Amino acid sequence: MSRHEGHPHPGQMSLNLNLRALGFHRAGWRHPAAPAGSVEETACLRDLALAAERAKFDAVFMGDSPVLPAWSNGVWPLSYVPEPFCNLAAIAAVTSHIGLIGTASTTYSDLEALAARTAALDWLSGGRLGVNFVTSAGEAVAQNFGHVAHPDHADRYLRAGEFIASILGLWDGEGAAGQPRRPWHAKGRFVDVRARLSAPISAQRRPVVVQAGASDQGRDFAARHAELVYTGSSTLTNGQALYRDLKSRAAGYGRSARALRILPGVVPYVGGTEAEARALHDELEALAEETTDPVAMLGLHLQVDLGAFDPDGPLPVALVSGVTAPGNGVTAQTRLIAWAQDEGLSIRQLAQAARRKLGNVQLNLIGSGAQVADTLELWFREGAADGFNILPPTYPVGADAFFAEVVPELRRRGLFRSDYTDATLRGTLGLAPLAPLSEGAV
Amino acid sequence: MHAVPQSHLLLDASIWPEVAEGATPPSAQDLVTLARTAEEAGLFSLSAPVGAGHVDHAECGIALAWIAAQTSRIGLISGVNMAAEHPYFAARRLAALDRISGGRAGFVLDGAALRGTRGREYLLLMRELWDGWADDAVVADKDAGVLIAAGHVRHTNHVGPHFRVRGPLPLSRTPQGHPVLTVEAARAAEAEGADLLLACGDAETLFGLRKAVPSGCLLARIGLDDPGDPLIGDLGHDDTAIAETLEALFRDGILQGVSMRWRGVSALRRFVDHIAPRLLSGRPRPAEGSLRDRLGLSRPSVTAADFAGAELFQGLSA
Repeated sequence: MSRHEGHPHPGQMSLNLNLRALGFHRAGWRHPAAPAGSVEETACLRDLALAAERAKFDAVFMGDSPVLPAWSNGVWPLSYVPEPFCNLAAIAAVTSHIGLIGTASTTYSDLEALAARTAALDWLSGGRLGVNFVTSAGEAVAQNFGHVAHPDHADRYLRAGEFIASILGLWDGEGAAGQPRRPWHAKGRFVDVRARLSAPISAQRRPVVVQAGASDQGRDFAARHAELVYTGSSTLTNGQALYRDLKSRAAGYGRSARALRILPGVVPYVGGTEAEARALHDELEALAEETTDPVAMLGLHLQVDLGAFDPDGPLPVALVSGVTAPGNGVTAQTRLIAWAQDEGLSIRQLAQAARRKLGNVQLNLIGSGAQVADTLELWFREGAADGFNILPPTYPVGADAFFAEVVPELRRRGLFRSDYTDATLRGTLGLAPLAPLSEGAV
Repeated sequence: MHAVPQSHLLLDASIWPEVAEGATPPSAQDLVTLARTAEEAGLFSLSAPVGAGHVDHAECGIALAWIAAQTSRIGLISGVNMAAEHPYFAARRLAALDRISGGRAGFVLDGAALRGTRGREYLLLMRELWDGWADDAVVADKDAGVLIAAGHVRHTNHVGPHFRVRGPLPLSRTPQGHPVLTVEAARAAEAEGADLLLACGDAETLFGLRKAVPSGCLLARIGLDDPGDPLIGDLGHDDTAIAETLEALFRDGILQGVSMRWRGVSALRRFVDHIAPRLLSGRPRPAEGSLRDRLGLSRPSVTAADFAGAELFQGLSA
């Protein structure tokens, strides 16, 4: 198929492992095999990265927002990250080929400090760094940086554009790898920086630009700047539509289809047989069911205290609609109200349904290695993915099962590498090598 | 003075050369070799400063996290660029370094930046952020489904003239609680509770400083290949004489250690191979454990009882 042409191994997909010690199922940390108290454990993250490198994954990824989130994937803060780039530096020290992708906020990061840190890590790791740029939604984040309210969506993306252009300028230089970077001055509405980064130009020149926003502006931003895009689609049709949209927007910016790799997120429940996979899924669901009160969670999600209402009565729609949903929460609020009204659900029924379905923007796959590989192959061949960001429901068994059952199956089908052929992340992803940027400010 | 046994000598070295003609920072691999050699020789710590006085190849926190993963005992003291980095990010990455290194993190604050109200607020705010989680907040009780104990995490709610930070950090309390703080001895008054003090000068100057600043371990900054160094510049390449000069200051209780600066990597090797062994021979190695443990410093504890009256972080408890 033409869309994968240009890749040095055009029939092969990219695989990233999303590093979160607690796993991506809300009860993943309670699985009997999960290491207790592993929430921030350096050793746990390191071992996962080493396992991903043995499986020849393209990269490990750490999401981040500079805040302790009160609500995340339906559980008390489970998704917080101690600090992505220090942990990736520690991982870089014990690995040799796997890419390292960390997340940074374009709204709140200090531009020069972030540019210096990421350039340093790209250099130390031999050109294996990627930086996922996010605009960071939510008032809680804003309040960590002296802002009363979060900057509006449009301003966030304006700032993000200036931020990226400036960091690209700071990251680059005119010489070859190993040569010093150049002094760079960038000035715009949100940015004013004049600096020369001390880390030499890395083996891949500069970190790979990664993006994950799904809004219209987020997609446009990705199409313009990103070399790797994380997406979330739960059906093949949606996945294909998003894939087409991103690649055609990129073409509108004069970029080739091979200039950006699109990786939907996948939560794989894998077993030796389908029954084993289903047992893992059911075991985790049962653990989650035991202890969490779905009504309280629904209330938190809607920012309304539902404890005052009869759980078997109807949702107080007028009250709920009156709450201004935070940042990107508008979609979820609208969906919940529509569900409750269309299906005549009580508060309790809605809460239970919501817990199963909300936040499930990722593709959940349950099956044997061959079955999961079938779906991944289908998405890859049918124009919905250039690869996948793997989010194991629980560590270590969820990841180990993917490595043991799915990866060899993909390899048998010629869909995934059996060894690394490049030492840099940009090379491993099959992206074209970079030329130095030309002079100029924002 | 801190309860540091006199037999312990705190030897620190910078990982980057000072600004000088032809000074070249170590490569990524050289950095690891350097760190392991220093650790093997019994040095207390490595420092990665920020500022204009040295030439480097990597931001301080990243370089030290990279070294942390490849060493096991040596302390890692990171500079903080107070002008360019928000205290929320600085506090977070220092805490992460403490976690990654198993309690070996320290930080050094620039004297000039500490002078104004902003510098003091910066330090206070970092400490408030480090104290946002009770030591026993993470319970990870699988059976009960409780990951973090209710009432064990608080909002920071810092409101000052320079910063407004709601907090808390997305990071539970680290092995040391607070990384070890280093400042210039002349700025000790601005940095309350400084653990290590740096001073540059001849024996008389150091003696005066020791008398003026009674608490904290005093480390002389010496430039081993700097002919103008006020303490050892006259001694040239006589390693025995340098060791004897330093030894006399340790014996008299004026110094608790030295922080070694260098221009060429050969000077660093000289220090590690010839001077450090002379100074450390016959002295017991400091205890195992965190940097604070090795300095004889207590770990500042935080319990849920300390949060009385504070706004607690509201998660969704099971």
